[in-house]
Amino acid sequence: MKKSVNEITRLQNTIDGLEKLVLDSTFTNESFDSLEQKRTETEMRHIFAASAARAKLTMEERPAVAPERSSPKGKRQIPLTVRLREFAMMLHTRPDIEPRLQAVFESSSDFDDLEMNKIIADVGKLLSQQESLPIKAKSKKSNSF
Amino acid sequence: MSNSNNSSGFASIDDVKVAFVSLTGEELVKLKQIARLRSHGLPTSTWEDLLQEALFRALTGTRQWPVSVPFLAFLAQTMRSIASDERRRAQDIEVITESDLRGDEGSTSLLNDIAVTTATPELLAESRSALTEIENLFSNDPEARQILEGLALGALPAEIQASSGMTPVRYSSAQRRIQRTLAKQYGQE
Repeated sequence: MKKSVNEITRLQNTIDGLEKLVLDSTFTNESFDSLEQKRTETEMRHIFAASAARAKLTMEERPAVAPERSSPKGKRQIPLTVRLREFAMMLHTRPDIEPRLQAVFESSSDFDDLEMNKIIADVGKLLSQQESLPIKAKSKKSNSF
Repeated sequence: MSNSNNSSGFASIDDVKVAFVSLTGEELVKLKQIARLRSHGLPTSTWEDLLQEALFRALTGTRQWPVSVPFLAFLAQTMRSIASDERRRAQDIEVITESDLRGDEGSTSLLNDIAVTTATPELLAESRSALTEIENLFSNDPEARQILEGLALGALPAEIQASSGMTPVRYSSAQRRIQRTLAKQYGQE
């Protein structure tokens, strides 16, 4: 057909194509019972509520939506939520840290989604009160949690 | 939280809220399918994370909804952008030491400065694995697999038909089977 592309691009292209098929589909409820439909609607309501709660916090504290990537000094400024995600991703690439972090989460097995969303919202609120995210680097010898 | 921007071609934040709560059951299922598809092979985000982030951006105005674009397509596009960004960042942080986390002034991205532009073997392997997972859904459908292979290469329908020898009718029929399988696989738990 043509060109060879790497696996990341192949995956991206495949998902793009399948997404278009989903959007274009004249889907009917034939595949779902009403219980399934209800469950999806409930999931979606929860996701929307969590997003709306986060958005409300953000909008309350930053009534005017500031340009996302510029600071008063004209320096590049990344939103704290994005930086938190970057930090989480960094952890993901550190096999020596991730198991310990995982253990922390697993020890908190009684968290449910709503509690987690609240925690995330609280952390977001806390962090947005600061000008920057102070990540204290630990020494390589003592990076335990 | 009203943010009426209709004159600029973008919907207001209130419009976003109304649009979401007005989605039909079928549209919600489609949205879930898309989010689940899009989260395949992502280093950290689940489909719920992707959708929540897309809605968050829409509800804060960080990502504006062009009124000319259907709402579902807008959310799909936003999730695509978030997922691409996550993959790109995962590629960019191939080697990190803890000292890399120390910011001089605490105001710039700590990880963006450490750019390694090649895809990591891990990310390539994860992508391969995610792709295999999708392909396996169609293991008993050779025509669907041919379409998937064409999609993976970014080919147009006419190109896929030409290379596979499928007639337009058979192609459409295989597409419908793909749609049904996706609905069954990603629209349900």
